[in-house]
Amino acid sequence: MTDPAREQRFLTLLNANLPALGRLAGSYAGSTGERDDLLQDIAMALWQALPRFRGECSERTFLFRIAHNRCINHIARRRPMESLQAMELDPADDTRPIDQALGQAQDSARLLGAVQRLPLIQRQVIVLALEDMDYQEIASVLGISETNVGVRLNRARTALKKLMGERP
Amino acid sequence: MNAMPELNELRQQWQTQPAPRADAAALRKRVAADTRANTRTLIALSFGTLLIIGATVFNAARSAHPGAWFAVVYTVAFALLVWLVAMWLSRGTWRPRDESMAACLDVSIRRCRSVVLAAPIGIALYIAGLIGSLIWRQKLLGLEWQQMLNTPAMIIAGWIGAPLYSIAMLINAQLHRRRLAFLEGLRRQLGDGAE
Repeated sequence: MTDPAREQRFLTLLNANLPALGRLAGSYAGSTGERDDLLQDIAMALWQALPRFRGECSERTFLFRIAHNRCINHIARRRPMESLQAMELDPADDTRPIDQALGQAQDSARLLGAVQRLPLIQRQVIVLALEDMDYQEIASVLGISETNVGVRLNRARTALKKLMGERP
Repeated sequence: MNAMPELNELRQQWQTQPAPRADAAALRKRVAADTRANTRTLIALSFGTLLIIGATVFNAARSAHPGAWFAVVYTVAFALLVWLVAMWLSRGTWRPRDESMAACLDVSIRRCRSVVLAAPIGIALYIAGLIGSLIWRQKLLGLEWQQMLNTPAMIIAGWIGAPLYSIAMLINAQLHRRRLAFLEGLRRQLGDGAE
């Protein structure tokens, strides 16, 4: 792959998936700074891996596979997770009424906090399911069977309900 | 097939999280900067090796002592040995064989094992290098042990450098031993995705 083609593909893939990658990184990070650093690691890994992409799966699956692998490396390296920082509102979105925006931000922060507390094998599947991936895609990203995805997702959903219930 | 339609409400909450501050172009710039930094490090290491060899050749060329050229042979041989050992230690650690989680964990585990193994080998090489240089100086240049052991170079590289280097290598190995235990536990925990 020539560099301009690689560059173009890199930018297109990242632009299309950046919010989802940010959320994925956020589920493995204790702060927005740590999330941004992890996102940078993912970008680096994607840049290095792109020439090896042979089209045996979708580009999105390939990207999330790389991202998950970076996240695992990250948790093997980092210090114990810091307490979750308060989530700031997205300054670009000024169309929502302030009460609604606050409510949504609190809900998403609460959900993120609960997801971060899940065991890794459950966190992996739930994060991908929350990104609208189906069983087949999740199985392909994580390299596990679809049956296993179903089992892990069921457990994750139960655990998530419990965790969300603990902090009404 | 949609994975768990009952997760829809959670999906909505999940996807309202604030977007990352960086955009793709900014990430690309940092990737380019990191790539340049990695290349510079490799060039600096190669340049450092060549500089040491060059300095030894320069000294040998200026010296009238016939044994001075042995320093060149010794330095080149030792530098070659260090590079060969470093290459041997890093075999199989350059990149995962594919993008699967199993391959990723495998390469991370290999890297940790390599760092753990590098500590005793690195310390042994450092000390062997020092002792070797003292021996050939004593044999070929006829220098006194007492005189050699008190030179500024020996004080910095030997009496101060050797313990500092050893401690740093052992601490690093200990950190990687912990990471290795974590990664091996993770591989067991992740089950069929990591086997």
